Parts: sequence; structure tokens; C-alpha cells
Amino acid sequence: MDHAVSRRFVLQSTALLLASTALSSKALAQDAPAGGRLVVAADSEPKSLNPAIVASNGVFFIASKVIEPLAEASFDGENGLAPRLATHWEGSEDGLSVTFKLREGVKWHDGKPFTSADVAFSALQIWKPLQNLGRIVFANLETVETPDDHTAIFRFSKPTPLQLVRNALPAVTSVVAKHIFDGTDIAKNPANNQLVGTGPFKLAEYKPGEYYRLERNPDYWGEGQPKLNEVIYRVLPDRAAAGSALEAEEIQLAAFSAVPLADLDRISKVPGIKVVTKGYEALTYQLVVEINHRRKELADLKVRRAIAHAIDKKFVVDTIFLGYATASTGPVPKNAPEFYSADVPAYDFDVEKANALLDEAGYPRGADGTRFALKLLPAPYFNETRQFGDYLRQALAAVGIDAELVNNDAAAHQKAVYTDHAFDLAVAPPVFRGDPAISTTILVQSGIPAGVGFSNQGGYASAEIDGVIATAAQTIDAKARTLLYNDFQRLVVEDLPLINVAEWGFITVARDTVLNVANNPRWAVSNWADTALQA
Amino acid sequence: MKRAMLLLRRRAISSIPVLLIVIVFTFLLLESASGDAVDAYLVSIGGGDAALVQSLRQSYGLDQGMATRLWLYFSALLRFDLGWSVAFDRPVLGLILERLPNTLLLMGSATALSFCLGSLLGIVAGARPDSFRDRFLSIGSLLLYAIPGFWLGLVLVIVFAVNLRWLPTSGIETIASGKQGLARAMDIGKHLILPVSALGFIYLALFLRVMRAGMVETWRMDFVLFARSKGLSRLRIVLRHVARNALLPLVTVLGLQSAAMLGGSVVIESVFAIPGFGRLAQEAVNGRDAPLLMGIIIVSAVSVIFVNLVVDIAYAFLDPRVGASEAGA
Repeated sequence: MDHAVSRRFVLQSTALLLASTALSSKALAQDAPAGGRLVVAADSEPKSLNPAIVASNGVFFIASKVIEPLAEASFDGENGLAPRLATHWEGSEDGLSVTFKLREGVKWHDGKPFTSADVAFSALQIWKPLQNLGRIVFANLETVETPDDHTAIFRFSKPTPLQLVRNALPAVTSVVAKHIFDGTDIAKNPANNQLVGTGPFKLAEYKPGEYYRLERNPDYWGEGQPKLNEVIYRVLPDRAAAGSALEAEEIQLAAFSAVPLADLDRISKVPGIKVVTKGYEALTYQLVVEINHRRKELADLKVRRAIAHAIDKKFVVDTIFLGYATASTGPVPKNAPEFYSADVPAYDFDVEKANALLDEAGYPRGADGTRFALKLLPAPYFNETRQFGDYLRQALAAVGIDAELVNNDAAAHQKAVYTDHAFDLAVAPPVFRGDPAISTTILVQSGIPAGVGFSNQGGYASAEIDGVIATAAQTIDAKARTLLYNDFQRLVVEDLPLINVAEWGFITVARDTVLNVANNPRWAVSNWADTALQA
Repeated sequence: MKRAMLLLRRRAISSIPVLLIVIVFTFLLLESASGDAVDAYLVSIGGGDAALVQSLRQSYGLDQGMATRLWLYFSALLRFDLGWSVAFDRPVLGLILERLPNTLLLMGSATALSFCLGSLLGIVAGARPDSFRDRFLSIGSLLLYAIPGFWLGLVLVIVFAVNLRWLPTSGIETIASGKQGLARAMDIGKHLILPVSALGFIYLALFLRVMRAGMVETWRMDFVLFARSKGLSRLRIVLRHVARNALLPLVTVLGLQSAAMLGGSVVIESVFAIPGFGRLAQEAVNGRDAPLLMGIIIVSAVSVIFVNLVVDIAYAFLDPRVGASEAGA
């Protein structure tokens, strides 16, 4: 339970608001009214909507209402999970198998029954070979046995920690129907966009550039669910448009910070609109300074520590994120309490110390006050990453490092940093996805080929850190594995292959009439079966 | 009519090399931009491992050389096949046909608005050059011209959609409304008022200024003096003699402007969430979607060539001197 509490109070600045929404949603959860059409803002139209192939938030936002995973993240469930298509899961002692008991009486939207064959097919034909995250988690999956229609036994060739599988369940185990995909070219199957799932809503209509319309699934397995008759995703690429549409009551909800942070203060005062900071605890984004260790100066630990001391994290949180973020201590965010360790070195904001470290490293200020120059590439994906790039340039100037800002668009940034290594420092927003082994260790692990995005492309290599990552990957005992990741955090913060600056979740802005908002840690990408509208 | 046909034929032939240059240039430009369609896609899905990257490049055809791809593109184009959009995973032609009507509607209305209102106000201003009315209109229109389109759009939304709630904030029609026929047309019209105003009011100044300048010029002509000495009414002189003669340069500007509006629609379509051509172009660039962007540019180039042709034909009708040399050649 203490997990749930600390998860809830991640963003201290909004604790009050947070508490009030938590109360109201609890009170209303049981007798929420049924019916109604919920219109929400969507900022993009993914080209493939199949969450079994593309495990990304953009896809989940829409597809998670139609296609369900084996389990979903939960504030108060056991191990932070609530059952969906699986009702029970158990790992073997040797870590070579995991047995799932599947929900009975579930039907696909086309009326066919959901069975263990669908799970086996999804796992072996899609998650493992095709899915961006599943390729990592299920790398050692060999077979899936289906002794009966409601049991699936996953067998691995190498020990695979149940802890990892468990933590990955919400994101990587979206189950699709075998009878629709079997024997076809999966990547080209039209069902990648005309989704058929088991979820509370059916995808009824898609008008490119305008909207997606989801309709209530009357045969949903959840009793009395879903509450809503329709969910409509209205495509609004401009962020100002989302705010205006909310104020004009044309839409009722904008998730994923579709309303810019700078507008939140004003819009929160509009009667009938609420700003919710909860519901993204399991989708934490991290603000990170990536370092190219091929640069002689940056290969020096003293220089990296000096840069860490030069960054005022409080300023970043208060001014760039307007308080809607938390300062980071290391590579695992605070709202992953299962793994988070505070037992790491701290680099306080201290310009004098930074200057001293740089002097000590043998980079004295030249006649113009500069020690050396470098190229800084802020990722363009968020306003905040760009703004932090501007800030970092100034912060570095204060310690005599002249950073030249290089602004690229998304594709060019991706290539410059992760393929061409044409950077000295870069600002990145990696995501912590519930377990360090999914997308966090890859940020510092060595031996990753060029071209792999959101990974260690800075040429950093530490035998010690690689060793901990490799051991943890095959450690079955959850406690021992967690301890290894505590070591991992300490080692990373000591050696600074990259610098973690801040971590943030997104903001949901909704009309007061939308009920049961943000009642799980992946709310925006969960199934919304209990979301309701006040008549 | 014969003159017009000759003009048409000459233009059709001369536009082929123009199109070729546009295509090759766009291709090279996109090629020189850092990052390709796979990089753009990986950003949107949060990354993938090396084997996934490899197989994506293969399925997008990006593992082939530049020359091969350009050749493949041209040979498909000869069969009127605009190719496959990698960012949308759909045929380019379908995408364009889906978006083009919205943009044509938006641009057509905006151009009509700025042309009609602009030339009308230009006549008012040019009727008495340097009068108070003239000064007021000229300065006012310049002020409008100086306003960035997206800003005007946002202000209009805040005033008329958010505060007054008279009009919808965005979109081309009410979503999933099931409206048909006249009701639907009315609905679309209502949605178009704000974006058309934002786009049209800005370019209004151009037509106003050209009309006014043309009229100022014409007032000095001998035939105007003659008309006045004949004792014609002022209104008749303004409309029949002065304004009509000042109309010619306005048609030129109209031709140029319809091309510029294609560019202006990028911003307005994104502010007003209208699924149009401009937004598609923006998405194509962000997604490094070469086939789609080239399809868009080809269609844009063809439409600009077409509009200029129409302008030339209109010229030929408005002024008997134009086209005489071409027809004789």
C-alpha cells in the first residue's frame, strides 16, 4: 500500500488538487451514470493502430480501448497490476516458464471466442518477432503451450525474471485474434487499422484527418461496462486548438499535455474545467543530457561532474516545467518505487565547484573566458526539451563551456544523435516503462549498434555497469534483482554516462462532467471501461 | 477561342520540363535533409532495435540507391502512379484526393473573399485618390497585411468561438453528426467562416492596393478627361472607365495569389484542424515521406500552371492585345 501512496504523491506541487480528484473519483466509481459521447483531443494519427505491433503511447491512446493486454497497471492491485485478459500468472522457480490463467467467457468483437491460442499466436508471431518492445522482453521466448483454452504457458530458453514479465504486461501484451492474422502477411493485414479486439469499445469509424469513433461493445466481459456509449478522438494537431475546443465545450478531455503547460494556470480557472496531474505514473518521461564520450573533454569524469553541478534542477522544474515535474536523482524515476533508490551521489547546483572541477581537469578558461566549445542538440519532441536546451547553453556558459545549439526536426535529430553521433551533448526525453530492463538500461549499456534510437550512442562503455545489467537480466529472484538495479543506479550516477535532470508525467485537462479520470497509473492508455459522463 | 486553344497547347508543352525540374529538385532536396522516413517513424513509436530498423528500411525501399529510387519513381509516374506514402501507409493519390477538396474550398473561398472585397474597397479608395476614405482604407489594409495568419486565426477563435460561441473553434464539419445535403453544406460553411476570414483578410490588402494604384494611373489618361468633358456622371466614369481599365493587373495578382495561398493554408489548416493539403504537406516533411511530398508538389505545380493558364486566357479576353503574338507565331 505504501507504494500506492508514494505513487499518488509524486507531484508535490499539485498535492491538493490531486487529493480532491482522488476523493471524488472514488466516491463516484460505483454508481457512475451510463451512456453519453466522450469527445477527446488526439494530436496524431498513427499509421498502424495495432498495439500488438507498435507498443507506443500514441497507438495505445486510441487502441487500448479496443484491444486489451493480459494485465493493466493499477494503483492498488497486487504488484501494481489489475487483471485484464489474464486472471492469474505464476513463474516457475527456474525462471524458464510463466503460466497464465486466462479470463473465460471473453468474445472478440466479431463474436468468436477468445482462447489461449490467441495468446500463443500473439506472443510468438507478433510480440516477439515484430513488436518494438516485445523484441526485448520476449527475446528468449521459445514456445507457448496451450494445455487448455484458458491456460497459456510461456517457455523461455534462458531464465527470464517474472518481475520483468510482470512489469511489461501492460505495455507489451496486447492480444490480437489469431483467426484474423494467422496465415496472412501480418505487417500488411488491414486489421492493423480496422481493429478487432476484446475491449470495451469497438472501432466503428475513422475519418482521416478528422476523427476516430469508438462504439460501446455490448458483449464486454466487464459487468456493467463500459459506461460510455461512444468515445470520439478528434484530431487537433495544433495545441492551442485543443485548449480552445475544451473551453468552447466541443471536446471534454485533452490528455498527454495537449494543453500546453503555460496555459494550465489560466484554463484551470475556467469554471467547469479540471486539471489532473495523476494517471501517468507508469509513463514517466525523463529529461536527460546525453553525452558523447568520444569527445576527449567529455570522456573525463571531472568534466561530466562539473556539468552536473552546473545544472540547477530546481530552476528547470520551476521555470521550464512550471512545477509540473520532479528533479531527478538518477536513471530510475521516483515514481517507480519498486526500483527507485535514493542512495546515490548528489550533484548540487554549485557553479564554483563546477568551475573548480573543470580547472582541475585541465581545461582552464582562455582569454575570452571559454574553456572549450561543444555542440548541443536538444530533442525537438517537446517544448520542454527545447527550452531546456536553451537553459543548458546558459548554464554551461556560466562555467566557461561554449555550447553551440543545433536545432533539428525530429527525423534529423534522430539521425544526427543515434546514427551519425554528430553531437557532443544532446537533450533526450527517454521513457521509464515500469522496469529498468525495458528501455532504461539500454541508455548506458555498451555494444548497441548505431541507428538504434533512444539508446547509448555516446560511445560509453563500462564493464561494471554492463555486468550488473547482464546479471539482472537473468536474476529470477525479485529482491535480488531489485538490489542489482539499486547498484545500477548508484554506478550510473557515480560515473555519469548521462545526466538525469528531471522527470515528468503528462497533464490531463477535462470538463468536470468526465468521471473516473486518472484512476490508474496508465490511465490515458488504459481501456476507459469505467470512464463516464455526468448527464 | 482559337487563340485560347493555341495558348493552351503551348503552355501544356512548356510545362512538362518545369514539372520535371520540380520533381528532381524536390527529390534531391528531401534526399539532402538529414534523417529519413524510418528515423521519423522511430521517433513516433519510441525506438526499436537494429534488426527492426533494418527491416523497416527494406520495406520502405530505402535500402536502394538514390538513383534507383528516382528512376523507380519516374517510371511509376509515367503510368500516372503517384506511389505509396510511407508515413500514412496508403496510396499517395488517395490521400491527395481526400485532402484536396478541403483546401480548394478553403483557398477558393478565401481568394474570392479577398479578391471581391479587396477590389471593391480598392474602387472606393481609388475613386477619390488621397481622400480621407482612401487613406483610411490603405492604411487599414496594410495593417491587416502585416498580421501573421496564425495569430489572426487564434484571435478570431478566441473571440468568436470561445467567448461568443457563435462559431465552431476548428474542423471542417461537425464530427460524426450524420448531417446530409443542405444541412451538411450549411455546417461546412459555418466551419469555414473563421479560417476563410483569417486567410482572406490578410491578402485583401494586396488586391486593394493594386486596384487603387491602377485607378490612380487611369485617372490621368486622356480618355478619362474626355469622358469627364462629355459630362458623364462620376459613378459611371469610375465604374465603366477607370475601374475596368485598372482590372487587368488585378487578374495577374489573382494568378500569383492563388499559388501563395497554397502556402498560407499550411498554417491556417493546422490552427483550425482542417484536414487539407497544407497540413498534409507539413506531415509529409516531418515524416520524410518523399513519395507523398512529391505527389503534393506535383499536384500543386499542376494547379499553379493551370491557374496561370486560366489567367492568361482571361487576359486574352479582357485585353485584345494579349496573345496576339503567340497566336501569330
